[in-house]
Amino acid sequence: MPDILDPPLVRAPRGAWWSDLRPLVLRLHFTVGLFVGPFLLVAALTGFAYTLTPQLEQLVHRHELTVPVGVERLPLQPQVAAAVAAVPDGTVTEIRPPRTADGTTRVSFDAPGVREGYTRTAFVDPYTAQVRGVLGTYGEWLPVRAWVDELHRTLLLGDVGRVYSELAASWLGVLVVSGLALWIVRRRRHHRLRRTLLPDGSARGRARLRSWHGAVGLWAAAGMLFLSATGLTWSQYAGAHVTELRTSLDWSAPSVDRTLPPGAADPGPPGATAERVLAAARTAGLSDPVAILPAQDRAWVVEQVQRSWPEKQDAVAVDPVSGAVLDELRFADWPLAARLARWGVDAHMGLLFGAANQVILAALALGTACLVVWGYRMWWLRRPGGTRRPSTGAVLVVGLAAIALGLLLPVLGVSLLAFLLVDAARGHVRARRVRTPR
Amino acid sequence: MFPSPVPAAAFTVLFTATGLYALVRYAALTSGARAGDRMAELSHLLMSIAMIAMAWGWTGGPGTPGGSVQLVVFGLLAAWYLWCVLHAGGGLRTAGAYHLVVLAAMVWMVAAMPGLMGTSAAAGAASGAHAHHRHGVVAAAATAGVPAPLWMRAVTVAVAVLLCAAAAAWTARAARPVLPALRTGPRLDASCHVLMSLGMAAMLLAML
Repeated sequence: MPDILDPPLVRAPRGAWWSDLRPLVLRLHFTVGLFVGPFLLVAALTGFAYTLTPQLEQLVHRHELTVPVGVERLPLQPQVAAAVAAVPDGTVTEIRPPRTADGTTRVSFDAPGVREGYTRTAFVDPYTAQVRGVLGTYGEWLPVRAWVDELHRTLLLGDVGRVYSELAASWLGVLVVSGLALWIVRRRRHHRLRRTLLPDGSARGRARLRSWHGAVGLWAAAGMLFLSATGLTWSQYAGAHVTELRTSLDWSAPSVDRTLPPGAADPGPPGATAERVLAAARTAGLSDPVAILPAQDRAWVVEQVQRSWPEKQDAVAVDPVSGAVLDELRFADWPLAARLARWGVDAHMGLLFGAANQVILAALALGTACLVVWGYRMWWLRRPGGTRRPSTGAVLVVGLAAIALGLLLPVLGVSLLAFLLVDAARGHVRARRVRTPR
Repeated sequence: MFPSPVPAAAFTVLFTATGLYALVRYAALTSGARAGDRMAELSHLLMSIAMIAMAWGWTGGPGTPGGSVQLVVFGLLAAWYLWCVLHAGGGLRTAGAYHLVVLAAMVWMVAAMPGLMGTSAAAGAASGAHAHHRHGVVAAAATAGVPAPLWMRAVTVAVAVLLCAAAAAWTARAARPVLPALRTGPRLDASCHVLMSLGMAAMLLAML
């Protein structure tokens, strides 16, 4: 069976740079798709599951999230006190007043035995101060959503599992760009625009599959590139590079200054302090929904936590004893790049545009899964043979791009390196067999 | 790795040249324009990139992701060339032995870095999720300088001497190429090997 990287030596016409480059792009798209396909498929299917979690969370945890609407809400102090009594060994890390009339107050704790990144959250009826439940939460995600989130990010394998999603996100961009080039720059005798934009209804067999793969890939390209770029921002290795780059360019999300004036006194019980701090934040113009972040020997922060459009991310730092606002930060004053990153992440998570966002993500996920399956089906029917080797120049250009990309996206770099080493070893062994026949 | 950016810049120029040469040769081998050993060119390219990263302190010792990847990759390549040395003959065995020595030197460089530079195994890298590294600053100097054991320094000097000897042999080959031009582009190829050998020897000595 011919090696996909060592076809017979036939050269393209001189000066036809795409003819030089196309064989390499085709082999790249095919080989990357073949090896990265399973990771993309898993990421797409778990991502699809994630698009259903907002509604699922409301359903599964209805008892903790909703209460009968009462006459008047109690102050925060008895609510927080009830939460503290329910989690006696915890330290309060966040207090979220209810967003809706039938919502519960959330009081989150750092507690012994809680996994890193997780908190223990008590859900309190704001009308009666009754604790509706205590759950392990991942940020603002309740257990069912946190579980699907972790499945999508790590396959429930912890930091090791993050490599899978980073691998998928890293190579997805390469697949999209190479696929777009192959599909758009394709010779079509008739109905060029229609056959580029839509599947070819008259085609049969592998040609029909290719037309669906190409057309759906074209329409999903922008979305897939967006998911790849935003997903990489919170990946393990490439994400570190992104963070460094953002820090060096001053594109990071800013934060309020929590320094207290000298001689700060003990603020007292968390519930009463939370009321004082929240009142100061309301005076500073912070509307719901908000989260109150207590601290020891530092200013308390009240920040808006609306991640749907239009985002509300204003924050104030408040002296917990005097209630004086020490620092303010408005979302409108964030660097543009930081706001774009915030919107990007929230859109990736289906939060920014509500149900419409979820539907688009679900369609993208299903589209990506179909592209992978069609790709494998095409391979099963007939692998791309081609009759031309790429030119030295084409390999050089792609090689330089691969080095730059590999350094920026380490998981891509290491996986590409592994492939090239195996390929070079196979070539060496094959050449040796030719030189020394049995 | 260096207190001044000048040595790092010099190493960058040197290994950029060798890396580009290796990339061009790899591209020529892949396109079928010439015959040769793709594994060797890939090794040269990887070594050049790793040396540039090391010169600027972008990768660290065995306790860092970058250092771990280098240990695995160069270790596997060294094992490959050990296999080549044991199964090849004549000039191929000599070339294989040279590559084995250089790759073993790369493994030694990464593994011994913490000991030679008086840091912890996880120091000096910017490739972790929470680390931040400034170019040109010696991360090692920030911690107390613990002198390296004598045996470690002796091994480092011995490897550097071997590399200088290899550079001398390559210099002789550059002056009087013995292999057909079609196969290796002998003078340029030998010259690049001289640069790589001397560059590695210099880096090893700089770590002392």
